[in-house]
This record gives sequence, C-alpha cells and structure tokens, in this order.
Amino acid sequence: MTVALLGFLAAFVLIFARVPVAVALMSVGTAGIWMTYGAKMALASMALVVKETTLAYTLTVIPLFILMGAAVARGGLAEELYDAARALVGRFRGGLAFATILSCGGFAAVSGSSVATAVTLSRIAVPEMRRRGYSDALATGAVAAGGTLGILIPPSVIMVVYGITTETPIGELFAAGMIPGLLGILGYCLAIAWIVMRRPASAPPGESVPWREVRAALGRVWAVLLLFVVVIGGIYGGLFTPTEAAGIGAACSLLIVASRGDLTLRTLWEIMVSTAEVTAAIFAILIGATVFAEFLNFSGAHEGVLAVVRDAGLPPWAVIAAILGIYLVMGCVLESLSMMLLTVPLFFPIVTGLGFDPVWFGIVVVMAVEIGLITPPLGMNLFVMRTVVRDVPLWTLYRGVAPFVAADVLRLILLAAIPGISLLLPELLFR
Amino acid sequence: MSGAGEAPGPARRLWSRLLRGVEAASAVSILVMMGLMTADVFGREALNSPLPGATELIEFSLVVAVFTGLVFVSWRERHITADLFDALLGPRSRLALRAFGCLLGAGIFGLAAPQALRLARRAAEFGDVSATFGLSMTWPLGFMTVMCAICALAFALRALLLVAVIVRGGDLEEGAE
Repeated sequence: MTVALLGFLAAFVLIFARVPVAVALMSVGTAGIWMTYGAKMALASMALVVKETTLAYTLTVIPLFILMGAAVARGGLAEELYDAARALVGRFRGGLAFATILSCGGFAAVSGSSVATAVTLSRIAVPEMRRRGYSDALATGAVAAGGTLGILIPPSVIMVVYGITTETPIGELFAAGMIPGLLGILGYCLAIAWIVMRRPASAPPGESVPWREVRAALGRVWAVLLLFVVVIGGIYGGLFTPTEAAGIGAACSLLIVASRGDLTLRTLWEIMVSTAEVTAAIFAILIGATVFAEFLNFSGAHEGVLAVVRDAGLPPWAVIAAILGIYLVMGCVLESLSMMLLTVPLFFPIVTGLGFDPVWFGIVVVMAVEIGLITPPLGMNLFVMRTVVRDVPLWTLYRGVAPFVAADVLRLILLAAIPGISLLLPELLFR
Repeated sequence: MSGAGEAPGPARRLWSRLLRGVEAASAVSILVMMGLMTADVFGREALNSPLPGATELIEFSLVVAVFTGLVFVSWRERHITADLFDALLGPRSRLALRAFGCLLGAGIFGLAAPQALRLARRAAEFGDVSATFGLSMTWPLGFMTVMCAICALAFALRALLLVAVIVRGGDLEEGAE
C-alpha cells in the first residue's frame, strides 16, 4: 500500500506541475509497475493497455456522443429550448434564471457534456439576463450551475467513461441518472427562488406570455425531443445498445443541423475536428488511467485499504462519506474526468467490496464530480463563464454559484443516503 | 510565434502537411465510424441484414481516430492539464513546466512505440487476423506503433520549441502552430 500511496503522491505532483494528466498517469503507472515487478512486466502492461483501450468496439460510444454534443451545439437547438422555457416560466420574478436551468436540463439531455451545455447556454442566457437587469451573480451562477446538468442527465460522456472503466452497464447508469438529474433541476430552481426571495433586486419581475405563444414556443423544441426519444428510447426499447445509440444520435444530430441549412462543409469540418480533438484527449487520459489502475492492482492497494477499513471497524457509510469528502476537496482543484479516472480504480473495488451497488456508486461519483465543475477556485464552468463575461469579477462568479453548490451538496447527501432514488429506474427497467 | 517557422523550409512544410493529414484522418474516421454504425443498425432493424464486418471496421476506425488525434493534440498541447499554479508563476517558469510535460510525453510515447511494435510482430508471428475480413492484426498494431512514434516526435518538437522560446524570450500560446 505504501507503493500505491507514493504513486498517488507522484501523480499529484506531476499533475500540479502542469504535466498533461494522461502523461502523468501513464508515467507513474508504468514506473510503479517497473519498480515493483520489473521492466518487462511494466512495458508489456503498457502495450496491452494501449491496444485494448483503443481496439475496442464499445469505446466508440465516447467519440460518437461527443460528436452528437458538438453537432447539437451548432444546430440552434439551445436557442429554441431557451425560448420555450422563457415562454413557460418567464412570467415569474427570476423567470429567465428558471428558464436557463430548464433549458440547460433540456440541452443536457441531448449534448452529453457539461462544458458544451455551459458554453452554449452562456452565450444565449447571460447577455439576455444582464440586458434585463438581472444581477451578474445570479446570471452567471445560474448558467454555470445549469451547465453541470450535462454530466448527470443521460446521455453523459462521463457516465459512459465510468461505465466502461468499471464494467458497469451504461444503460443502467443512464436510467439511474434521470431522477437525480431532475432533482438537480428542482434544487437549482429552489436555489433561484431563495436568491430572489432574499434579494428581490437581483431579478426583475417577469413578463406574462400568452398561452398561444407558449404553445408555439414549446412546439419548436421538437428536434430536442426527437433526439432524446431516439437515443434514450432506442436504448430502453431494446432497439440498440448504448454504443449504437451514440452512432444513431450523432447521425440524427447532423441531420437536424443539415435540415436547418446550418451544415456547411466548413461547419462540418469544425464539428469533426473539435470532436477528434476532445476524443484524443479523453482517450489519452483513459489509457493513462488504465495503466495507473494496473499499477494499483499490482500494488494490492485495494486489499490494503479494505483491510484498514475493516480493522478500524468503520461503518460502510463512513467510508462513503470519506470518499465523497475527498471528491469534494479534489473537485476544487482538479478537472472532472481526470479526478474520476484517477480515483475510481482505487475506490470502486473498495465500495463494491463493502456491498454497495456499482450503479448507485457511479451516480454518486458523477454527482460529486459534477459539483467540482462549479466549486472555486478551478471549477471548469466558472472558467467557461470567464470567457463569456470577461467583465464580471471572479468573486462575483464565486458568490453567484454558492447557493447552487449548497443545493448540490444537499442533493449529494440525499442521493448517498437513499440509494433507492438512483436505483428506482434501473430496478424497474433492468432488474 | 509560429512553431513551424523555427524549422527549415522543407521540414516545416512536411510537418505542416503531416499535421493536416492526421487531423483530416482523425475527423474522417469518426465520420466513418458514425456512418458504419448507422448503416449496421439500419440494416439489422429495417432489412434484417446487418453490415458484414461492421464491428471490426468500426474498431479500426477508432484506432485511426485516436492515434492520429493524439499527434495533433500533443503538438498543440491540447491535452487536459491542471493549471492551478499558473497565476503564481512567471512566464518562463510556466514555459519550463510545459516543456517538462512535453518531454515526459515524448518519453512515455517513445517507450510505447516499440512495445506496440512487439505486439504487431507477435500478431504477424501467430497469424492473428480479424474475424470477418481476415485482415492481419499486424496492420492496426503497426499503425499504433507508427503513430505512437510520431506522437513522441510531436511532444519532443514541442518541448524543443518551448525551450527555444525560453532561451530567446517571448511566449508560445497553447494550441499555436
């Protein structure tokens, strides 16, 4: 276990020394096996990981969901969602902030990525809210927090990566993410209501919209509904696997963009190159994390930690609480995918060894990682906000997300304490 | 500052073409993957006739997408990094850390390339072939070998470029060609 601890320490030092996360994990993992079992074993393990992490049909789900997200971000779907949500809830004080959360939730259901959701919605919602006199803190906080829904509401790329690395069924994970995702929307709306109640000046009164216009605006979101029904309905209807759903979803999203006349050759090229870039970066980390996980396996770290837990007589819930605490702290300084891939190989065998459900643990991990997207100082979505609204001070951004972080922490405690919330749909659909 | 501008003319042109080529190969292979997957599902569900060999063609496309993508992601320093202490460091220290990261990348991919070659040789020795088309597995593994080597070269060149910028002064943004 000492070797594993030294490995973690070395990985953190390299990561914080700005070494690419993939390179850090691959180097430490290879060096660790090399020192423990010799060069031959280390190099053979690395080669096998490189081969098996790329020559794998099921892993095509990653680039194809990324492609789907990149395409829908270009297709004007976010604008339609925002207009529909604004027509629906814009009449209330703080209505545009509520609309932002609802449209983020809708967009998350077809994009699979938090950053894509935050980037796309921030360009639409933040200028509109600022123009209407919303406080900068509320406007940026709502978009940054709403963006995180992309990670939990299926399809989610992070959830796919968790499923692949732990061999947990992706279909069950997607089903398990739905209720927590809806709870997230509810929690964020309650946070907005609380902000508006405490500081009415942070959001002006809304404007009433005739029902005819509401119906018309809702009718325009057909593309989002269609895409969601095709992808998620296809999986649960038994038509195709999650991997195939990603391919069909990507094709449908490109067709939708094309049907609107937005798909020029240049746009297609930009979509494909950005997809290729994100894909390569994710696979690099996946390779690095798998080498690192091999090292942890060789070092016997899991058995060591489990023995410590058993010897100390810690109740299982205390272990979960400690793990979630570690995630919340790490989320302040580490990027979400790296954080998950660095820790899951260690935590997963311990948690399943204690008898917890791997699907439930996946949701809790993804949720904890999601909070890291908006926790200062390094929450990814806060940086997205910085690129969109450069004139808003960082402290205002931090202040803006605080109520949403609180709502997230409460939701995390709820999901951790009551596994039935996450497992209800998997139980109904799969077990 | 242009990285390629530091190299002599023909080498610069060759490197630029190589980068454009790998970028196009990565983008096109993802599109191919999508097309094959869609055709396979459509064929199976609508015509009761799935696309023969779709699975292995999709796997090969993924190999192309990932390994060509790794080259330009490494060259442009688009890998995921934690820049937590950037604000605390001076420009030269930041460049030095980036150069160190690239050097380590060159080392680890430089180690991976001969190992992938060993797998490719073993595949040739044992006659490993794909299930449907009987394609020798030496090809995808050989491709991995070549791309790991080029990726190591991309990392090494980037590290050299960063060192040159440190010595001469100036800046080199991430993603700059």
